[in-house]
Amino acid sequence: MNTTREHALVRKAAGGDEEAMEALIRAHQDSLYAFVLRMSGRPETAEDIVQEAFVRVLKNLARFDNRFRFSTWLFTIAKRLYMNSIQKLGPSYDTQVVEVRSASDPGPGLNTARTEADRNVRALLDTVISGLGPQQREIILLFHQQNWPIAQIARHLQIPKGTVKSHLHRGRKRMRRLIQASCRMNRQAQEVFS
Amino acid sequence: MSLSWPPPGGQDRNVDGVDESMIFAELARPLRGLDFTDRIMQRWRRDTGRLTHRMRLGRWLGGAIVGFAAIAIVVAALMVGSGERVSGPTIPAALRHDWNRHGQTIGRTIKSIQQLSPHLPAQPNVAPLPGAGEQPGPDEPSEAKTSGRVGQA
Repeated sequence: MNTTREHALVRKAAGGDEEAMEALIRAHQDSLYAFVLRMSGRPETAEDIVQEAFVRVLKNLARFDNRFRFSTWLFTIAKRLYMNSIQKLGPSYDTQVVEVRSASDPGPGLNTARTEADRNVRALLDTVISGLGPQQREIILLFHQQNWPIAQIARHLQIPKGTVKSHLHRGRKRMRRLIQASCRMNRQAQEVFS
Repeated sequence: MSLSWPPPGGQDRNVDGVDESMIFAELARPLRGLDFTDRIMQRWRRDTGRLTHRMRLGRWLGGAIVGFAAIAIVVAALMVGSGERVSGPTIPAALRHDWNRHGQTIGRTIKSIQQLSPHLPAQPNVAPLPGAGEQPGPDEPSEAKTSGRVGQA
């Protein structure tokens, strides 16, 4: 959705147009849910946060500043809610639950081997993501999952662009190390069982 | 610093048989299937309905308070302007009235007690007045005569 259409929808929604509100929800719910799920590692928490974030946004649409992207505003509110939930529940990452939830519908055309390979990749991704620090994880997710440009991430996190790039670089390095460590462990396990 | 993925050169692409680009492809894959639209809209309607109700109640209460205050001010202004006093006894007047009544009652009681109590006999040690037992002389007018005269006068 381009910015002009998004702003038009926001204006309509702020005027009480429920169809515009639903269009905004449908346009952003998947990406927001994916982001919060990867950040929190808890599907129930992610669902609650997504709903709460949208309700808050809908209630305060009149305050939306047209200079920014709607998604930036929405993600900022969701991040605040996520931080609050961490304070209440404590940071924990349930990789199995994330894996099951994301693998709930593998699709009809996939054979068993392919599904198995996908499951392994998903499991590895969950392990790697959970091994990152909160800020590195957020930057990696915003860049690679949400396809946000560096400038938008920097504005969203209120840090310089150089810091974002540095976090990205270190985050990828850490991910690579975690992937290597995980593969090494798998290989050792295979050797033990064979 | 390279920001594209996978990094140029491809030396990190295959780590023990796992293509790292697969990890990022999986990361970028959208999670579909969950639709929150109805739940969000229901919550929004409920919350805004509650908010509207609360605002309406607040407005009504605010109006009532302002109206009451205005009426009180107008009545007070009218009373001060016309110089009227509150009809009926005031608290100080009522207290004064009660005090007087109780004072009278107590006075009457004391008087009754004085009337009912026996009179004390004359004191024996009191010396008689000089000339109290003597007969008056022919030249001196008797008390009866004097009093009679006085009475006649």
